[in-house]
Amino acid sequence: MIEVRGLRKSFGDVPVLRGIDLVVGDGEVVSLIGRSGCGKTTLLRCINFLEEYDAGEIRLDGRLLWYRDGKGARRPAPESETRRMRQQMGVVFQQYNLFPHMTALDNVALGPRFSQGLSRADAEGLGERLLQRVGLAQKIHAYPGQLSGGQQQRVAIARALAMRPKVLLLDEITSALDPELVGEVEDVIRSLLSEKIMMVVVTHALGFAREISHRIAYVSDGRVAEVGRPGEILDAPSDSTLKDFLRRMR
Amino acid sequence: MTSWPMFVSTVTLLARGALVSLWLAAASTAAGTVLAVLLMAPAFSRIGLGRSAYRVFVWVVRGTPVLVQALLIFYALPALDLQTGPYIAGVIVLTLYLGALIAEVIRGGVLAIPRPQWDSARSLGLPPIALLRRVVAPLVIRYSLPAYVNVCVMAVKASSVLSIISVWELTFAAREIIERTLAVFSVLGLAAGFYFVMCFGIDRLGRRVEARLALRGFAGGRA
Amino acid sequence: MLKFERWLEVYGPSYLDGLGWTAVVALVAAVAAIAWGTALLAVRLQGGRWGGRAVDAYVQLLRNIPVLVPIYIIYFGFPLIGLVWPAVVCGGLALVLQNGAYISEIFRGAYQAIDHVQFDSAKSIGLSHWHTFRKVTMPQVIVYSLPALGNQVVLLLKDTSLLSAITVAELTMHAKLLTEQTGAAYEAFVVVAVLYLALVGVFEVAFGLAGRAVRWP
Repeated sequence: MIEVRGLRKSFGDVPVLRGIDLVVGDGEVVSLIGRSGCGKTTLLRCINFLEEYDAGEIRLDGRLLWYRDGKGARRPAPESETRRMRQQMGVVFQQYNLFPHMTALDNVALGPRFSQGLSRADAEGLGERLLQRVGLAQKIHAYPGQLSGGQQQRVAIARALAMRPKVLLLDEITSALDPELVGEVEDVIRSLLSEKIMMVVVTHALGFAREISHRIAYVSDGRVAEVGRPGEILDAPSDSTLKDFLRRMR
Repeated sequence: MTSWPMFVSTVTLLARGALVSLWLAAASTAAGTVLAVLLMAPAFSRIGLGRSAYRVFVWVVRGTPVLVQALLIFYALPALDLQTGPYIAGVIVLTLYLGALIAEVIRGGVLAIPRPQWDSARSLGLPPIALLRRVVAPLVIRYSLPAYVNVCVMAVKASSVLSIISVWELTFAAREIIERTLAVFSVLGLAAGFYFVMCFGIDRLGRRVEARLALRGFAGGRA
Repeated sequence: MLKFERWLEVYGPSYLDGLGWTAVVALVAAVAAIAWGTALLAVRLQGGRWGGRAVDAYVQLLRNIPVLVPIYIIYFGFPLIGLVWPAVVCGGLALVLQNGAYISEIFRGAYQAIDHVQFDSAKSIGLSHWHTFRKVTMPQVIVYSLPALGNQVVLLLKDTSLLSAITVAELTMHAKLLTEQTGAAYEAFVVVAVLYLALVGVFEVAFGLAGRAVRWP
């Protein structure tokens, strides 16, 4: 499980995260919703340490991530440790996920082969199975430039899964897609629910969030303003800014 | 041009000069590329001093004429007790000049890589060597290739400036012939022809390479 | 090594003379090159298919040869056909012909970036081709081109140093003369390098200001 406690981050003088507390239980899917600029993407990036943060703790299964307590102030963990910690999380971004100079198979096999030390044959075997799973068995030797947006996102999901992560972090993975391509990506996510893998999903698609999430967290102004079951959050919100937000999203 | 034998000997001499120009350009471009890659360390260094040093170097090299740089080095080397002759001085000048240009090209390529590509590479937890070899280098090449081809063409053109510091290459050869024969338009016209073939040829070759790489998702678009 | 004040007294005027010439030649050549580039654009736009191809051939030719070649052709060749012009004019002409080619390409890019609906409106209110070009097309093209134009003018400024090879008494020439006179190895070129950097800075600031000035309608 993931515990985020008291996470703070500012970009220069501008505070973006003002003390985030969030817990994601084993096998739980938590969606993060909120206005643009509220900090939900920054939060996701901090969880994977793509951004350094100023204060607070992130723990995965009880182990403190990203920083070590040194004498006096805390320091970031050494590079090799950071890399190992990162392998436990799979990230899929909004676009430009895939490396354009590699085939779909090479993209997926890259992590297992070079970060986890699998042989080329094993890594490619794993890659083929995962690409089959996301419905792209025909496209394993295609280059990203030859794939549609939806197909690229599905490959990106396969690539994230190839690392056997404990948690998937999804940052608005359907926001940049043409509407008719959104469905195929959402289908893949639905199919993952049975595997009980932890997921933190930043999204604008409230309907989809309602469907797949165990809980939804509404982030506003750098804090988790309200969190709860989809029914509570979306149908009976307490927070006034959340009510405004939902009204505008209809 | 008064006779066929004279014409042939002129063309032959100019052709040899063209080969020298091409060789100078190629050698300096290669050395300049090595220099540029080394310059990437200070260019992206976390230490402000490193970054400033890089920017000053590029600013000076790009803000002064190549001829002045050539004259400076040509006269400075003997003063520092390095008797190298015009040829080596010329290669040094071009290497520094092209090095600065190529460094900016590579830096531009690095900056053109969309951020999620960096993030993806980091999220996969790739070790540094694999990261550089499999992800960063191919992406940088992809995004800097057109500009790099431009610099290769500039290298050939810049080599003509070395004629002023007595390096024997195409322009120098042309001037020699003119001083003897006064056949200005034909000799310089031929020299222009040689330069055109070299520069245009490099440009076309570059476009073919880009097209090939684009098929494999390697090269980016070119305006 | 002379003390700084004495140095300034003795060599200052020489450097200033060279600096002045460089600046003047660069300015005049820049204006002429912009005019020539405009003319080339006009030929491309009005000349139909052959106009476009002629300009393309011209541009391709001048882009793929070093600028020294046209300089030498004009300086050594024109006297042979009866045109005995001063060296600075020969060199300046070569610079104009070359940079005009690059500038016409810059203008072409800017022209293609402009919304063509305007040209249709101009035609519909009966403006002649020439008037449209002068009052509607070119002003916008120039505004769009300012950053790239600034770059090109800086390149032109640096190319004026090549005129020292045909005995024009600009900055680099003065440095060469001073080096021979004083026997100082390379100091003159260091000074000259600094002066070029300063001159480039002035031109860049000027273009920056021009860019900001035209952005306020």
